[in-house]
Amino acid sequence: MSIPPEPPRRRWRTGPYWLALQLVLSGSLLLLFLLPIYALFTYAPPQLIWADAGNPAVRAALWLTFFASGLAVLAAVVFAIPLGYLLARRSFRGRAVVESLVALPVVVPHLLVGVGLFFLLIPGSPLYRFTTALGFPVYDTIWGVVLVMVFVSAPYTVLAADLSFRAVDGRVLEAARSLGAGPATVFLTITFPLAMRGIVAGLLLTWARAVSEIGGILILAYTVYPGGPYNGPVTSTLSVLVYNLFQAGDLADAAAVSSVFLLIAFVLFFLVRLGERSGWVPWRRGELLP
Amino acid sequence: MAAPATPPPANAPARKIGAPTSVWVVVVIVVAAALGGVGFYAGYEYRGSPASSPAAVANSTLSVYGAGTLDPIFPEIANQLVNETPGVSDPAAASNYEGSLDITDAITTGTRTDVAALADYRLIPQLLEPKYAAWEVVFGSTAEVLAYKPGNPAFAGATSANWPSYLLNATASVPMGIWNASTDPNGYNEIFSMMLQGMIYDGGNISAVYGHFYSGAPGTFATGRSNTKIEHEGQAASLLTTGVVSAVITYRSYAVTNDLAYIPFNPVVGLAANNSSALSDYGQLSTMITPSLGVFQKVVPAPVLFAATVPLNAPNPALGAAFLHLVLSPQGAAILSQDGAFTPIFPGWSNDPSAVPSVLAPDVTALPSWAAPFLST
Amino acid sequence: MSGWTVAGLESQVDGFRLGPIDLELSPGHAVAVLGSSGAGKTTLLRTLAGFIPARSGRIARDGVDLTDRPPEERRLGYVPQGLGLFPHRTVERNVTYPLELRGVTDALDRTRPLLERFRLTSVARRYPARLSGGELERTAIARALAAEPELILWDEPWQALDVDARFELGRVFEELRETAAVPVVVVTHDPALAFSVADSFLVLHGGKVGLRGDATTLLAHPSDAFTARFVGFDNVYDRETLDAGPPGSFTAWLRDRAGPEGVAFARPLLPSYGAPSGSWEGVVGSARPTPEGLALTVHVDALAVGLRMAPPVPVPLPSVRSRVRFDVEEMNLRPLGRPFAAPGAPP
Repeated sequence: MSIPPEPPRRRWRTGPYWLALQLVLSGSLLLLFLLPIYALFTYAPPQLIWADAGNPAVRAALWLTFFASGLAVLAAVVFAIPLGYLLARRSFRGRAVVESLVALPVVVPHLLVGVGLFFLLIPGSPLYRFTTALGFPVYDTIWGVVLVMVFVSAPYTVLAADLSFRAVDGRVLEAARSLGAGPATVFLTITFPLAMRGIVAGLLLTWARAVSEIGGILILAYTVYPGGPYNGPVTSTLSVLVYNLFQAGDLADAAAVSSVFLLIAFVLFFLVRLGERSGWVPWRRGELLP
Repeated sequence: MAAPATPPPANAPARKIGAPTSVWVVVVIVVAAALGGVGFYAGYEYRGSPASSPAAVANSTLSVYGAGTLDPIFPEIANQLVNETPGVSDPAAASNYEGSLDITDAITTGTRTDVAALADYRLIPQLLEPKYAAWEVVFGSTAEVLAYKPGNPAFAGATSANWPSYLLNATASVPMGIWNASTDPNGYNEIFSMMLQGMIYDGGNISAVYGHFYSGAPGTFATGRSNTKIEHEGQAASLLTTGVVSAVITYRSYAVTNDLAYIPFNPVVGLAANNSSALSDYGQLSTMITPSLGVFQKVVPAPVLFAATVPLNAPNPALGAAFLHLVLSPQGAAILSQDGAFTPIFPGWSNDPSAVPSVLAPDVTALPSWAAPFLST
Repeated sequence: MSGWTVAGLESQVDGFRLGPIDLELSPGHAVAVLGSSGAGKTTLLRTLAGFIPARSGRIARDGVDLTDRPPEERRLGYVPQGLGLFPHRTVERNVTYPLELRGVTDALDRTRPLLERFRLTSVARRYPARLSGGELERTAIARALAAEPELILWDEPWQALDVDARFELGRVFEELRETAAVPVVVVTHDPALAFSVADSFLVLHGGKVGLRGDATTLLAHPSDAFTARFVGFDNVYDRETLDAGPPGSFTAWLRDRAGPEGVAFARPLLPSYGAPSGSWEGVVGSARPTPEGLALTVHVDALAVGLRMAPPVPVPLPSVRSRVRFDVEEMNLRPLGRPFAAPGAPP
């Protein structure tokens, strides 16, 4: 078989230009991510950032936001992980419908989430009576915040759980069964530990999504009054606080409060990433080679 | 006088317009101008001579930034302007109706609009002059009222004298909505209305009504009690109709334009009076707001007067002036006062009548003496 | 002591039907399950283990009916393909898992002898990702034994192991049979393992039992093309290939002597010297020296037939495209697929 002749060489080399194009495009996107954060941090003077970190209104908002997002993550653990497990390991009819439902919150604009929940819970409606009777008033309480947060962020847990559970080798689970473990034991000792890393990553994303929510919260819980597990002062979530400050023309404070929040969020984020890479997941290195 | 289209330059190269075509262009312009001029007269009487009717630039867009309660009143007036002036349009996207302080922020951060109309006539001199505006004209007043969902039996029989007891009753089960005083003038206006009601009907006791709904001594920072709920401005109508809140204290114009039922207040209580005793009452009251985190600022009541200006950086100043000219006309007054929303003031009051555009000069007089001191509060 | 009885077992997975299967297992007995891909070997193991429900039939251990019991109650050790080791547990914690399930508190101590027996003590604290193939297999079997099973089901051992590891594993099997006295059912592709380990064989074909018997039966009467190749026949032709031959040809001759599944025969011997003789003539395709002599591939009537020459190999080698003549003894032909009943009951 004869080798085709070498194509005539171009007059100029495309390699460096292609690379340059890639760098420019990627770099632009990364800059877009970075620059607004930079602007937030530099608009307000550091003394103001420090002062606002100590401001009781800001602290109340921070506490509320983290508390509510923590509750949302908890709800995701309780409700979303089983759903992910169901989708991953059981085949059933109508599975495609369920998967679409799970993806629904991602495509619904968040303001509409708040409006929809608002309509659902109009005073006098059955759901309103139900939630008030149970002691979970939704409007303007932390439960409203948590409800919106769960709506927009739990799908990420479902997805992560689905993928993580799917990735567990079924034969490992069968081996465990044959060794004498019942289905629940297999889940607790084998399936869940193996899927945990992916699920934790999903929970992190869920938390981040919950904390950044504003659209639905503006409608459903613009101000949060003490009630349920929340006993602090009347306040709003952090995004709403920054929104109010911005609306009132208080730009320096808006930037300062944003910086405070970003600092805390970054620290938490890095801590979890650090934990992922090192120590607390030792068996990550124990994945069976094919 | 309609502006003629610029004729093609005498030394236009290459493209030759045939003589018949250029004649037709001129004829069309003349006819259009004539029709436009006729349209200005047809069915309308303007104060001021036809010679001072504004000349609108063809193919221009009117943009209006107004206080929330001016929607849909101002758009209706803008619509009239569009109908009468060929080549002018006012797409909804070019105008914005939101909180007065949001509007001043927008303008001071570079937004350009032809007309800025705010709910508090103190704001233009305090926040926009001299860099962004040179004058203002007060065009209407409204008053605070107690608004509630039409048909709500809780307020049947309430009057301007006895509404506090009805409100107390209603809020025992469903809270009233209040607005954030630090971001919206209506938030502190409702505080003042309550204080004034107590002052007038309860023998000078400012806290008689105020104390039931707010904690914090009068004059200090007011925090809503458990029978109130802070709501986002603009949500009041939705929250009232769904029963989430039982009542709000808001502008009569807001109640009218949102089809709410309302109980009118005593003019002093409603911040609409201007006799000397009312003014001295106003002078005794104050409250604190936090325009910035941790910063407190004292505000005092002032009569609710809506004012407008054509900002210095307006894209179409002539168009803005034309719009205000229409607002300050009998036609504008009719629209403003529909269903009692506003009490039109015309001639309008200006804090500097010599600075207004010539087309508005006949429409304004000087600010009355009682209104002027508030400008610095 | 545990004897297992499987009677009329049938199951179905995704349209594939397995069975009916009959099997008798006594302690220490090793059965090799053979068959081509898709014949149902793994399905059989999983049905025995309980992961696939049985549609009919019976699985009993010492007379106790286990057919409806879930896998965790059957007391068998199942080593799946891929071994199913827990990647998040060390070797010793993999092995102690069955004991932990039973609430044994000193599980580590109890499993120490097991780890020593399978020479896993030095790697006891390692995670599966760091083990070699042989160590992995030994861990899997140690874990299965830690559960003190009454039956061991082992799917495809030896698959990815090198020669040394296979040797080790062969020793493991020896130990299993001597000490554990537990019946073993092994699924395998590998003739060497099967013949070295198994007492009896079960050949599956399309989900049904094609042949059952000991080594002699298997060698003497392969039931289908797969088995024939498995036991070492070089010339195996299935029915389709034979049906395509024109009358009077070698293909037709074979066809007349074939069974429903085809026919198989060992390589006919060609004399190294002397005049070529034989009923059939073919064209040499290739000639390859081996320790046992010369292996030739000859094309006869569109069939490729393997022939051999005993050593010493002639020099020069028969050239490609030269013609040779050969005979096939009728008694060396094995028709495939004719039902065969072994004398006496199946082992």
